[in-house]
Amino acid sequence: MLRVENVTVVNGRVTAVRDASFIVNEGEIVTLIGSNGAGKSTMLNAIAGYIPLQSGSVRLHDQQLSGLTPHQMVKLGLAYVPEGRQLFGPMTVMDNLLLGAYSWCSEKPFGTLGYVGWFVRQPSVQANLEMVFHLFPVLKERYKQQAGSLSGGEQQMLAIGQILMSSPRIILLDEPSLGLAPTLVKDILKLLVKLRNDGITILLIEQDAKAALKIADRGYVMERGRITIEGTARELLGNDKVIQAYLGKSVG
Amino acid sequence: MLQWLKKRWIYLVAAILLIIIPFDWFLGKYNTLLIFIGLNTMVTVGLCLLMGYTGQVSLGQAAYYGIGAYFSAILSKTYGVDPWIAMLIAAIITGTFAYSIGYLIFRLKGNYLAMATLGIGIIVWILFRQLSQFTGGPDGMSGIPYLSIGGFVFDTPFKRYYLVWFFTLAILLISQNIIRSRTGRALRAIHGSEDAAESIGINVAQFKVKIFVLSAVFASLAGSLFVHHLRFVSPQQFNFLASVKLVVMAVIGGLASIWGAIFGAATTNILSDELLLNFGELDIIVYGLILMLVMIFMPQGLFVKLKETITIWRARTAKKD
Repeated sequence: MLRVENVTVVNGRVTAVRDASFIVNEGEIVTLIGSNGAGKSTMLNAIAGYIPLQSGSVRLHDQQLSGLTPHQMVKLGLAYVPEGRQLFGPMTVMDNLLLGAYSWCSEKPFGTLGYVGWFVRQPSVQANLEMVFHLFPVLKERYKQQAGSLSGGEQQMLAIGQILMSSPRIILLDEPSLGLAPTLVKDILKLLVKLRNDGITILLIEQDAKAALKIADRGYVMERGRITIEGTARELLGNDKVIQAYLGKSVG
Repeated sequence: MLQWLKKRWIYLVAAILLIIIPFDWFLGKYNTLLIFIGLNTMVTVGLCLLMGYTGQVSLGQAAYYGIGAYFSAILSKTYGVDPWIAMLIAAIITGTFAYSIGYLIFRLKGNYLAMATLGIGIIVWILFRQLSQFTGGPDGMSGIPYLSIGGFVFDTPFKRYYLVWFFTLAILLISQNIIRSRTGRALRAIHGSEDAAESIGINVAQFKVKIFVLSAVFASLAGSLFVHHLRFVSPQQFNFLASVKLVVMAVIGGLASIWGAIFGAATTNILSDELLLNFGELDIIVYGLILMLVMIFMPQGLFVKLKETITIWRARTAKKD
């Protein structure tokens, strides 16, 4: 589904990604693991169109992605949740969610006189909204609240909910567990499995390599901008090098 | 009905006030001032959309005000075009101009963007002065016809008050609707974070240009009404100070507050027409001071601050009862 071929990315003066190739098949969770500065986030930024590729190509199905702007990619079904979940703090939870459906929901451009735009929402948007509320009941309770006033975990849920509103085919997630309590991390990861089972493809970057590999189908290890090891999640969990460098010795 | 009245009485009062204000027995002698407040509100609303909602700075808004004014003046006086059609043509030309400018300068951000808009404002002002075969040069043009509908000529300030405020209210309502629609959500998102807005599928660059064009068209309409009101136009009315004053109005009213624009325009106009007359050239210092004080102590704007204070005060008194 997503095919990254011989991609090199220069971020400022540093060549952050060198000649990296990997694929993400439909309906898979694929994880990139690696230490800080290995080029994982740069890789995602480049796929999502925030940093230009120096060379190589990124394809979604048969669509060439390099050269497209981020908002064009959203329309193609590629959604990106950057590190630190970029929500719109002063806006309400509902506004944040509706913004997620921005690229394909069409309200009248000027609303009508008054706040009617709220009610003439398209049925498909409404369906997505209900799906998100079903996944995260807490968002439904707090839909009038400002996004910035939610707790860290709720904000992460909102960030994922916002992305789901755009009916994505593939989601790129950068460190969804960053700064969350361990129990919440588990919830988030469980949710990713659920989304995968619903047919959404996920490319995940996660500091906690063990947790990521446990839910992933396949994984790639990035070192200094290169992809050095690849394999199924099970293989990587058993790989000596991976255990030594990223998992610690307790994994057996 | 009573319920409705209880909730909306403030609108009713505002509507009645708006209608009776220009009569001689009320505030009739201030009609000219009130017309200018209306005109400035139109420009300020555009600035609020641009600065408060998309977070883009424009220090040259007077240029678009001026382009609208000059095109209306030249077309209707020199070429004898019907003033209404002249107004429409002026708005289209200003919009096109803003589009081509915006396309170029919105690659810039922050201070650089402010400098670019400032530069364009000054260039346009110089053009007004130098293209004297069209614009009358530094002396300006006079004898511009009044607007009229059928045989009804807007020849007194009393009539023009209603004309200007009709347009002002229309622009306020349009802006209000933009803010509350999907477009408005997108605008607020861009103000929050451009990258995040882009990542959920908003074409940020295009949006900025669109709003810029819209604000320019608002300014142009105000400019057209301005020349048909004064029947005189000169470059001095659209210089850098005029742009700064417009920014002051937007800031006082609250950048992210559509209705605050009226308040901002009113305060600034009353200040400059009634209170600062003796200051001469020094009035720019006063505006600078106001701008600084408001920015430091109430960055959300005087109007919004007042509204909040009243809400808190009402909540307190309600508790006592």
